Amino acid sequence: MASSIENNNEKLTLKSSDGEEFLVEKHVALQSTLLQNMLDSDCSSADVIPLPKIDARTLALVLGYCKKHADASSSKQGELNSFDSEFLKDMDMGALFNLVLAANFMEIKGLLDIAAQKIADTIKDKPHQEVREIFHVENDYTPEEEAAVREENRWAFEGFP
Amino acid sequence: MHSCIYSCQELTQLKLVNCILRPPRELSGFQNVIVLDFNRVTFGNNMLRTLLSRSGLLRRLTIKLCSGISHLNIHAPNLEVLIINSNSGIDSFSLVGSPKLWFCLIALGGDPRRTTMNNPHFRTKDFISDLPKNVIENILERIPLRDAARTSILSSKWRYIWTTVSQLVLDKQFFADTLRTKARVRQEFTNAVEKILLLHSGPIRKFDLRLPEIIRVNFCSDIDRWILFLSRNGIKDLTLCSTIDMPYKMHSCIYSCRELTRLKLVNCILKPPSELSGFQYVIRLHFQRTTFGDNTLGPLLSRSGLLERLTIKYCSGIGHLNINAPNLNSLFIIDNNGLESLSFVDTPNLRCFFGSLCDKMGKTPTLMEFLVALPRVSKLNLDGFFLELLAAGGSPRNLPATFTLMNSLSLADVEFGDFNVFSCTICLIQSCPNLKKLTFWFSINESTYEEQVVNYLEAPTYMDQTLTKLLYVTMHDLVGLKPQLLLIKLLLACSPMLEIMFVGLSEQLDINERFEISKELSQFPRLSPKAAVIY
Repeated sequence: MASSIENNNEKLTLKSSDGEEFLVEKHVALQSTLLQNMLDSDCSSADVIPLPKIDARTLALVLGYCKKHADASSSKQGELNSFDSEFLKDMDMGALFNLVLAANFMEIKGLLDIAAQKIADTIKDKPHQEVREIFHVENDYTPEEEAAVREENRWAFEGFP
Repeated sequence: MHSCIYSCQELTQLKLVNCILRPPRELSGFQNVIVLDFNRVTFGNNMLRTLLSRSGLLRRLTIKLCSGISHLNIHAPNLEVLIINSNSGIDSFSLVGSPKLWFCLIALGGDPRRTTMNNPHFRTKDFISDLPKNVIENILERIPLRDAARTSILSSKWRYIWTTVSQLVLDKQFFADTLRTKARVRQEFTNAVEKILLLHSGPIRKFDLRLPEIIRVNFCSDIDRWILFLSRNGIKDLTLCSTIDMPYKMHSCIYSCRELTRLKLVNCILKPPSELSGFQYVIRLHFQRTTFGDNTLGPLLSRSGLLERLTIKYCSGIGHLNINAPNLNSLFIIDNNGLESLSFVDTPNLRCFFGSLCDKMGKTPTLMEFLVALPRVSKLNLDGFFLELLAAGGSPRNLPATFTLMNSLSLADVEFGDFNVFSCTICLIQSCPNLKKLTFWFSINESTYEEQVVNYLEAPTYMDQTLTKLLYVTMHDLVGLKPQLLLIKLLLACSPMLEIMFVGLSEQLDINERFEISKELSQFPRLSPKAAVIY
């Protein structure tokens, strides 16, 4: 028992791309498969783990998610679900994409899935013009090419202008 | 515009429509401007460039339907929103050094001879196109196939991304969306599916086809072609729901899919070509309203050695079924027609068994034989028919073996007043010393009981052991027959850890009857101090 408490209190430091350091409990960090593998392969563990692709704002969000999921016991699934749906609510697109990239990089499957779901919900049922606008996708098709693509997948464009 | 505007020191927002801006003699203002919005404005020579070079704080700039701008070079470090639309006479355009820009709409109208967009930050703002491939795939798998296919038109980069999505779900929604013109259902649907398959690149791991019941078209020959195609493209997870009127007879290539691990068939016909056919790598099998060749299911299953989860629901033509499945973990046999017998040959790992019969079988194992075949079972759900069959062989008061892993037992349609069923039930409970959860659904048709049952239940030492692990008991459709109440009394009296006894009273009872039952129940002594009786 004593040793497990000790383990729980073990901490490590993560460093964001913009140089901010975050002190995290080990069991929280273990939500990330990337960190888990790093810790497994090197038990002595370096003092600071740099995460060069993730800025401080995003990392703070990611760690908030990990903490909630690491601390909640499995019996509180309902509570976690409502936390998850609140977590991404009203988040702007830039932050959401940073988060999805961070979750992918750090291999946090649960977070990646809810963020991907949020982006998917934004695309779903929308006309492509709107999707282009929301995500700033530049249309580089000529009108002829665009018509050819539409013809190629005619079944999918039934009912869309 | 009067030239005094150029010396307004405190101007932060300026919106002009249908105006003319001439070059000023002196320009001392504009250094605090944050928003500029020009609509149908004519600019004098180099006018706009001069204004912009002064406006270092500019955050939003709109230039719409304007004229007189030949060279538009934007260098605005604080710019966040830029809209340039339908202006005439722009010869060259450049945008450099606007790291905060997050919204940008540029429609130059006419080909500018030179356009420079040297703004790396701005370009990465098309976040979605630059996501890693696995993330894009993750996203596309979460939207209907039709929406995924429509991403092809976003830009040339997106044209074929959707064709690599390895999960194809052609469900009810897909039908509703693609078949707007109902006249040529067959042709339209077949065309759509074949286009999807032909364009697809890479393996198709999951294919889920659910024909809606309303479609009265026979797609069998088309489906044959598609299954053949899938069998050559690494199919792992196949779901095929045909319609009741047009059951699909499964193509024999399915038995040679080396990567198939999950198969679900609804309204199909399965006739393996030979005794040697099997689903060698399949882990999960689900058959629903599927017809089998007589006595072929048993041999098929015994040649599916990796099988872990098997469901056979509302099927027909099974005949005698010997289950020989060393890795089988969960088995659901629910209300099948023409199931003549059921036996277990090699099922050492079965942990969860759901058995419900819609009519009697000719030959069944006794309770003892049945349980011995399932040494690891931890969850058992049986219906009344099943229990009756097991009970018919007569059951010993105590089974010679105990089932220490069993932790959840659920019995449905229990005619507890029948002595055989009663003794079989008690025998089952007594053989499971580690039972945690016990659920009864009493038969709603039962109105009488055999005296013998009551005699046994009233004997003070009938249950000769305590149920030390029992935590939850649930009773449904209780009508208050004496054996039912005595069962509750018995369970309360010999379960020291019991936490909850849920008693669901039958809806047929009136308020007085309910009151009488609850009064009686409240007097039963409880061995567990924590036990709560809930109605």
